[in-house]
Amino acid sequence: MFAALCRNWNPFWFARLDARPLALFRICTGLLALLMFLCMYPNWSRFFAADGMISLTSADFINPRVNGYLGLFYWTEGWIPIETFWLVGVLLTVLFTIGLKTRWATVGLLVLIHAMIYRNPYIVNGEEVVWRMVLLYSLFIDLGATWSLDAWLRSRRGLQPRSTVFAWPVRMMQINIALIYAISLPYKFAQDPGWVTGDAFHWTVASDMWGPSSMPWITLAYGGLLRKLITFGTVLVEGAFPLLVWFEKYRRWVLLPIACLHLGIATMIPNVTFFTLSMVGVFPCFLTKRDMEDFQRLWNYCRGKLRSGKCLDVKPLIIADGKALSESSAAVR
Amino acid sequence: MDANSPAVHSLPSDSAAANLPPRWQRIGLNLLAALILTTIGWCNLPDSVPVAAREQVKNVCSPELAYRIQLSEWLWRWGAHLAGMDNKWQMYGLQSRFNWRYEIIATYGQGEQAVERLLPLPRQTERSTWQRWVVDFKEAKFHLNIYNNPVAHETYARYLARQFPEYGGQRLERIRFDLKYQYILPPMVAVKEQQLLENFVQTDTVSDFALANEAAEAIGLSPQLTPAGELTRNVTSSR
Repeated sequence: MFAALCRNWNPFWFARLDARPLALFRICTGLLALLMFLCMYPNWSRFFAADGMISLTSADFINPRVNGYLGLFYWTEGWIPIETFWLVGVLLTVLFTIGLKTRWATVGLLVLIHAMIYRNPYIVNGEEVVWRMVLLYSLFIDLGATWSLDAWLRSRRGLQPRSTVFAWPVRMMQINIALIYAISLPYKFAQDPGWVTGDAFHWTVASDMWGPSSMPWITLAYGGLLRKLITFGTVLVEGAFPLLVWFEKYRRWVLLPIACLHLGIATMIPNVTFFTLSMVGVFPCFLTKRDMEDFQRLWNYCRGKLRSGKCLDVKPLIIADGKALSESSAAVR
Repeated sequence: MDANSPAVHSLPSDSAAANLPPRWQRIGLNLLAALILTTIGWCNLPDSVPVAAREQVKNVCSPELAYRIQLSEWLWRWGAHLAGMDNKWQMYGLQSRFNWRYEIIATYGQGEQAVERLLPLPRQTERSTWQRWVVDFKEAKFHLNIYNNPVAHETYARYLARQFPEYGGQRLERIRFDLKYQYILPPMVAVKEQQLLENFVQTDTVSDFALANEAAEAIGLSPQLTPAGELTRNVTSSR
């Protein structure tokens, strides 16, 4: 075990990695961040303006927690309208997503998210914190190496394509993501006995703070069996991920369930949608060259089927009175 | 750790070795990785551990050395804060045992003519589906972040005073935060009774601010002499 660790240490940290998973991560995270900025538009001034909910304009009142001097907005107050930064945010997320001036877009997004966090910490949710972490590591990753306008422009200029990226910052990002689960799981057990007894999901379902209280059957049905299954399933998935994601044999078997878990949370608990989707958005950085090749094969297969029209060749599924009800394929053709 | 996962670009070992950065860079990056991971670990320890460690340092070391160690630890944490690495990762750890929400109520006018108004805000008045699902996506977290935080309440109340300074021809006088809460039945009881919540909704006023000055400034009048932002907490508790 120790010998294997030593042997694999340098390749693990310092090899070159396939750039495509990182490009996928960039696109997913960029799209989600863009969506967040668009959703924040109606509230942008309310959240961040000096006369907004942080009340910087109140003459005889100071809240030391808001408008921290480590954030950009502290320094631009009074000479750049706060609304400008919403436009800047949209522009940066678009640049980041399409991979144009990717490094600058990453720096800009990191500074902007930092600024938002320091300006109004009362509206900070998990998504900003996760993005701040991954963007910090992304500064040192060539996210625009492939599947980007930067790559396209490089190829137009006749420059060599870049298909790999340096592993170290990617490893740090992966470890930090895994640590989120490795750290939060013991806290779950320590803070709430419900995670041990299998009842934790009961309190989530009953809470109208987050949303799912409209589905009481999840905790009330079958004597609470479903609730226990979901709670223990969550513990199992969150516990297995940081341990097994490092092993090729198990990687897909832990990545898929944890992505499904987060997608389920995003569907059921609307008020944490962006946080939980931001976690899904960073999982592509755990994918390998082999995964990308499998995706490529699947994509080619589906595209080929679509082009040849074979996927529309649906056989009749339901027969009533000896006559097929589903004859859509013949009709379409 | 498997060198082939995750995302390792599979290379023959000899070419992989040829592509490695120089030794000094590798040592530097290994040390940096160790520092970052130790920082994350230190920042995520239960609060009692660093406190106990500081006490131990105070007891064991000389005052001068203890001061230096504490200063170094403070600088270390400050660096972590600057880099955004001092987050405490506790996803959905402690689940609330009661449902709660704020009702933010403004009082307009004085004496017998005073009128109370439930302010038209997210989470306390009718919202369209678009507003509930898209526009208000940060409101629940906002309320959670200002929970039990009088300074945050006052900050928000002052904003509300500027937004809603008048109503029915009367000027805003006060804004108060009522906490409405309803206990969640324990799992066994909930299954037995096939309901999730206690029937009683309890109400406590958790913050109450006199904000006539803020409202006066918002509508362009000179402030009165009453102290703005006068804070009276837990003034009433009604069931």
